[in-house]
Amino acid sequence: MTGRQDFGARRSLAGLFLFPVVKALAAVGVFACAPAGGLAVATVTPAVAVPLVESLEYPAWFLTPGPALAGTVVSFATVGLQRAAAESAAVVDAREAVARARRVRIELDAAFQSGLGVALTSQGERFREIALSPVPDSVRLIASAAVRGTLFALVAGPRQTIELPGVTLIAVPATPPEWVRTLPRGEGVVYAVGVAPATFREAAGWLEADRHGRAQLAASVSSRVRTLAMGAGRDEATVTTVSSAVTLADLVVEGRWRDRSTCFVLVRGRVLEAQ
Amino acid sequence: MSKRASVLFALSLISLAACGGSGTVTTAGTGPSPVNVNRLPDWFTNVPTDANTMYAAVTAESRDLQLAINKAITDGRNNLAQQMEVKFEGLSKRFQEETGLGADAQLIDQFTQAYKGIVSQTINGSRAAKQEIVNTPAGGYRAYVLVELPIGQASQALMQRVRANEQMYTRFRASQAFEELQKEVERYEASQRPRP
Repeated sequence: MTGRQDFGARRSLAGLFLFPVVKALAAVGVFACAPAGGLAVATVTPAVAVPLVESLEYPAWFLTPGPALAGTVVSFATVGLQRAAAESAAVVDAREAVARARRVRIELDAAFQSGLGVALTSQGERFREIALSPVPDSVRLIASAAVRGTLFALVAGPRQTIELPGVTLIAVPATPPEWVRTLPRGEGVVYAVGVAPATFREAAGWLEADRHGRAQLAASVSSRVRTLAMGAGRDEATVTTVSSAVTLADLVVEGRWRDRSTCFVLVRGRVLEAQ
Repeated sequence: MSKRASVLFALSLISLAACGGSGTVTTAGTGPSPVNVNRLPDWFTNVPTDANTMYAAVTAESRDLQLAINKAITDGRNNLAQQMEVKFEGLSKRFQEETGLGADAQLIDQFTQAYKGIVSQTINGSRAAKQEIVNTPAGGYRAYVLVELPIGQASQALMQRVRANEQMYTRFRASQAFEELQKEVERYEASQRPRP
């Protein structure tokens, strides 16, 4: 199936009535954002019970891609007036990602500094990905869905045949999948979980979680860790560096999940070379 | 715009400005967060033990989610490197005692260089086997991570280095410590073979 279906308008009946109410209340300042939590209720209490969130739904092929979608990538674009333009933009963006998924060199350098008895740490990072497979001239759009103003596009390589059993939106499960807490094992492959804060920009959280997952994958295969400690006791400061350079193949996203504030992505790859 | 509408607009702006915080903007969501603030993960308090695997249970806190996780995992890898060094140091001492190599400083030096090369170069094949993320009362994140490393891979690398040095290999292979190292390597190699 290669249908392009619009799911943007689909919403639960309760959501249709209540979401505008939440938005209206937010507009007059009833809700204020907590520093790092969900929506916090300010001092004004609404007269009626209003759910603070609407249920989250994503295409099934996005949350649980499954083995049938190996080799595909998900690309994003902002949905404007022209849906076709958003799809074109997403497809163009996907070309490099398709090449990277086949074979990629990942170089990671990170440094952490913990200062002078303070528990908090700062971090600097350099992350570089080089596609080792040629970037295809064209790729194929398998399916797309508009979710809260963002177009999610499932894209495959030019010669890849994908049979999509059906395109439906499914709700994000309330409880996290097992892999969020326990990393799976697989013969001849390595796994990692990427994590990123969810933001109003749908694509940003997912893309960053995906990138973080690939960085974790590289560090898991091979890491050179060095620590320099200075001072002692309350004056102690440490600098830890970690570097990694690996070549991976057949990168696949096996699962995605999110809660109110965080996106989780399970990535899998095959190790070709590690330094 | 009427005066009333202007006041309403200004209040909305103030409300939006309060959203600045840590820069993390949260959105609508589903069920509960996969964390429990009041409970430490079981594996953090009772770190698993296994003859073929080394474990490091670590934690780190930050206002930045990824930083908390990255720091915890890196600390875990650092911890594993130290455990590995202690293990190989012990092996080196046993070699000295068993083979009476105390006087042969050069050979011991070579062995030390062999294992230190493995320990300090890189940690290969470590994985963040388990993780929990907790929202802290201060509005940040605390990551608990269990990092694991199969011992066999490093033992195999050390064995290859020992074998490459004929003099060292000849002196060590009759010892019990060598036999233990050999067993570790065999266990690891067996675990790497594809199962039917």
